[in-house]
Amino acid sequence: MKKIFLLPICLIFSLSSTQIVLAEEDDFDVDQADSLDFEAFHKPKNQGIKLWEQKPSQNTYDKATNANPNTKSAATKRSNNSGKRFVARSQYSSGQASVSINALYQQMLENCPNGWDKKKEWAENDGQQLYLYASFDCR
Amino acid sequence: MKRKLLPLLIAGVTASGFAAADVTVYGKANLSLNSNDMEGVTDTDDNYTLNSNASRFGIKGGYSLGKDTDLVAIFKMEYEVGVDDGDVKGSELSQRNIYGGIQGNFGTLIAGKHDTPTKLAQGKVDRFNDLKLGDIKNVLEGENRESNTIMYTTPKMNGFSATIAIMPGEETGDDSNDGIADHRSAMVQYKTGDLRLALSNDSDVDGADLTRAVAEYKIGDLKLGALVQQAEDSEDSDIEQDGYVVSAEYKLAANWKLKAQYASSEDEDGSTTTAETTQMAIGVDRKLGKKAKAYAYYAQVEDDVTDLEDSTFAIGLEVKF
Repeated sequence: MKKIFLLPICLIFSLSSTQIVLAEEDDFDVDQADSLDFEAFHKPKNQGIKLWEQKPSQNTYDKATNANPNTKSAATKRSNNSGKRFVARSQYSSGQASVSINALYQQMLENCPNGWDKKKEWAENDGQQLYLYASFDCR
Repeated sequence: MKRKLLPLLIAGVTASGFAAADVTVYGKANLSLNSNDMEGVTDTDDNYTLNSNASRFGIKGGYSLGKDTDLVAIFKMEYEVGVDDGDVKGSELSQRNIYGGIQGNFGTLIAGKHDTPTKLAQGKVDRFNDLKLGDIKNVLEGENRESNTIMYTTPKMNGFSATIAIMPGEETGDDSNDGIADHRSAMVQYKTGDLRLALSNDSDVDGADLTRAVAEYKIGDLKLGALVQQAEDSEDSDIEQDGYVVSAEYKLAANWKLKAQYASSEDEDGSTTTAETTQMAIGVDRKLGKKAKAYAYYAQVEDDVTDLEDSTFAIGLEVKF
């Protein structure tokens, strides 16, 4: 063995004398990537760097009754919503954009009194009526 | 990761109209400082080298195809990075396993560029995988990553699972490989408790027909592995290679592992032995937390026909993310 290796070897292998609790090697995506267990590989894990993670969302409106979102928006469980995702909806009529948008923001405010991050806005026609939607995460 | 990627990915997700799963970046940097003494089996250098040992990053993800189905569209794109000098086979990045596919109760169907089932049948028998002179590819045929692969893996059933891959030849003209399954690789695996058994077969993959059998067993802190295989040229059955690998890994303490491996192969053309290669490797791993380890190893590859021997001693560091 050449002498030049002795110093780094000593340094690396004496970095810590404490015992470290370790995860099994196979728990990592990078290890499972080289296997045919696609099921395990594609199972979400608490490691790796998440670029995008879908959070379960909760509608602030009642689609079944098609009630007025201005009055139907979730009136309960407005506290402790931090981190939760909601989808708000309001009817859209020509020339009434500001009314519809205000209705969406009213729902955001009611569900996220501490503020929110708006994730997406879209419009959808249910065959009779055009609706504006917004998904948002409570701060 | 460039900032532009995130909005692009989000746009891709939201455009689907279905609930999204997640997109994850993973990978590792694996670097070693090697002291090489090469006589010509694999190289002729007698020097020190800083090596990037298949350092890589990958992006994987999946999207549910709807509330009323268990089907998930999946993808993976993995690239090798030359952490030592920025060069991987003449490029900044080199493709590793890359695919798109569908996953559900029926199993997993993917298409892309991927390691063959035979290559992955070895599991963890190759304890010096990706390391200079330590990887079993220095001794054995069958370590192939093939383009244009369509691969199906069954769900696990009472410990059994199977994978079959086909690769169109994509040639044209008379007597050419122009079919849908000109090249094939398949594997059957049984796993229960601490035992794993696998049997695989290649047909005209990288010019070889090959059968590989693998066994792995864990007894307490000791892991054992064995692999035997027979290969022959797809077009000339006189050209053959027989080989085997045995390996062991022992957990000395919570953070220490000792590893050893021996492999051998014999190449023949008719009754003439054209190469007789043996590999020996020993090493030690020292965990440095959950996602990093330091290691040292010594490996040598010897050709008994020419009596030449290559060897390397290295210290290295691996960091996962």
